[in-house]
Amino acid sequence: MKRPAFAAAVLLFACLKASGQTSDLQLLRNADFSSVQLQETPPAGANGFERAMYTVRRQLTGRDFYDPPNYMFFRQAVRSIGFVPAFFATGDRLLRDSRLGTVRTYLNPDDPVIHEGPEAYSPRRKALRAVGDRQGVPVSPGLPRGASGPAARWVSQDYDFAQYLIDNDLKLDAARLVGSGPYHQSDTLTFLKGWTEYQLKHLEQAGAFLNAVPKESSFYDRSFFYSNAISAHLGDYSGPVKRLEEYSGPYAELRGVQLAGLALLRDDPEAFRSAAESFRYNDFALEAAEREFDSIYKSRYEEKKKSPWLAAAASAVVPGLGKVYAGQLGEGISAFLLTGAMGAVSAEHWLKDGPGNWKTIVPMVIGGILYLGNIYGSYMSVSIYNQRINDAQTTAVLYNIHIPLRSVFR
Amino acid sequence: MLRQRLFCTISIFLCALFSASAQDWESLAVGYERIIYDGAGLEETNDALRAKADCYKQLGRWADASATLSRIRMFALDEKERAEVLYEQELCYFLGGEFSQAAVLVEELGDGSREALLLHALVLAYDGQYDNSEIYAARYLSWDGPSPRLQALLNLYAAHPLPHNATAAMVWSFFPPLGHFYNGEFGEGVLSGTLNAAALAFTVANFVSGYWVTGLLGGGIALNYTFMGNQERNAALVEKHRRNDAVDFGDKVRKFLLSE
Repeated sequence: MKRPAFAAAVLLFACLKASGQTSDLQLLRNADFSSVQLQETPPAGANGFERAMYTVRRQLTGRDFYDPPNYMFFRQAVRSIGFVPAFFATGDRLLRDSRLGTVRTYLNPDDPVIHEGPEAYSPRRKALRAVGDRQGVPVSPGLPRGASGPAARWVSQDYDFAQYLIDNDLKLDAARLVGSGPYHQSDTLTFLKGWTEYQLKHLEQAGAFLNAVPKESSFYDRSFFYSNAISAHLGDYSGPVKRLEEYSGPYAELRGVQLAGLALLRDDPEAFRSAAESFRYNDFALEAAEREFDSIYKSRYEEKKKSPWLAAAASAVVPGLGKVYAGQLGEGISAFLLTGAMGAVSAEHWLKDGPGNWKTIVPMVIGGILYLGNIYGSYMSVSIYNQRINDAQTTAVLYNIHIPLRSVFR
Repeated sequence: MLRQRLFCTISIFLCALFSASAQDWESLAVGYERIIYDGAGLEETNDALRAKADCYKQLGRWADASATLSRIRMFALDEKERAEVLYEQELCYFLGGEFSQAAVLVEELGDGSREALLLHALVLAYDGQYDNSEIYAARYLSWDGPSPRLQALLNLYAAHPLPHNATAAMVWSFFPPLGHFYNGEFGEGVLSGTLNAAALAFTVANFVSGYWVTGLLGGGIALNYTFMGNQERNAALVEKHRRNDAVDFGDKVRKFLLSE
């Protein structure tokens, strides 16, 4: 009985689909494989000189370890940090952009390039990043409503199915189910939409849906803490702090953990100390995050930081030494070898041709730019180093705001 | 249990009935997944997965389609059904640009139908296996007896791109710009040759003039960049031609075979 019924249903499906289905031959005819081919095109926005440099660069050994590549960097740096700093920053960049210069840098195998624009050399970088603390995630003015009418039903009937789709990595199917299914509007539907968008890493939409789950809902606590983590990931630190301060639910320690993490993200040691008072260090789900936050607080506010001036002075005495002090051993060796080579070439011509000969002047000018660039780069390296530590800590904080939720709300 | 199953099947069908009018393949795919979730039997699950893969095909989501097909329990299929599933899988890999993956299925699928011969010919052409591709293409054209287009096909395959030998390219690249010329890149070859000649001239001139440090350090660094760069570029060109030439030739074969 059931087999013929199923077969009939599948057959009818097939008939319905056949009307608009694309045949295999059509698919084969229309296929476009140009994306499979290796395309070689100059970087977007390159001018004539940069295109020429791109052509020459391909004939030289090594590869560009940095993005944007050096021949694109100077023009961008002039626009971003001014002519003179751009000059020295490019000199420093040339010294760093080698296998040796990046030897201790982690390169993602899928994207083995360091994405570092001229803003890395800007002292205002940190200030610019702080401005990134956005005032609240934009909540969609009109979240899609549920369906109505006789065909509509309650999504709670399909809750397990939606979870099954998510658990089996069929997230797009889950989004389709809750996004266009004939369901009545309900808190469960709002939560499921947010949860599915979250799984698809559509954070803005996920935050908007999860924020809209009302306090009365049984999904409220879960939605509340996840939406806070999402807001933090999107760069909004003040919104979740305000919401957490008003929270009076059962998850007091988790509230403290999120508040402490947000205090670190906002660079507010006072607020951190206040939030950390709720740490108990005995909850399996939260203990690691609490200890990590304590360690970041100690490293950021209680330990001495490296001095950019000392790095610059060290590089003035021995090229590359400031980079080693800044923790960039490869960059230091690379700077020492290249600057030293130019110095040796200049010295040879000085001795044989005299200081006024162009053969002396040219390597001296190039070596001088590299030398000054290296001093400037060493000064900036410490700030870049400090910024990298700060970035790593920010990543760790965001991770620890977010990951414990998976254990708390199983 | 039976009533529940019937209710579920009918409700999915009704759902599909409304969505199919708008060709809502995504909703259909979810519907088929629900059949599996609701505890369909082995054969029903396989049918639902095949139908679901078909929806993804219509949406152009080739990777999802092949992933869905790989969930099918092949042991529960008969010979004909298994061939159909393998054909679909090979087709999805091919359309998704996964030519090597598709080529793995050629022998497994066999040559039981004209469509399979066509697909094999295309897959192997795009994968750079021109001789095997030619055999399948010829059999495809001659399926209903001798074809007047066979000679044209043989002429097409006679002009297939020669795979560039990586070892030969490397040997030629020791004498810049011959490696570039071997790869058919004459403009780049001239540029590479000029750069290498300039670096060599700089080094030799400095040594001859007694500038040993400049010759050793400056010339050494310059030659390292130009000469080794020439070798790296040649290796990259071999890879580029290996991939791009096969796709270009595959496009020609596709156009020819589908122009009937």
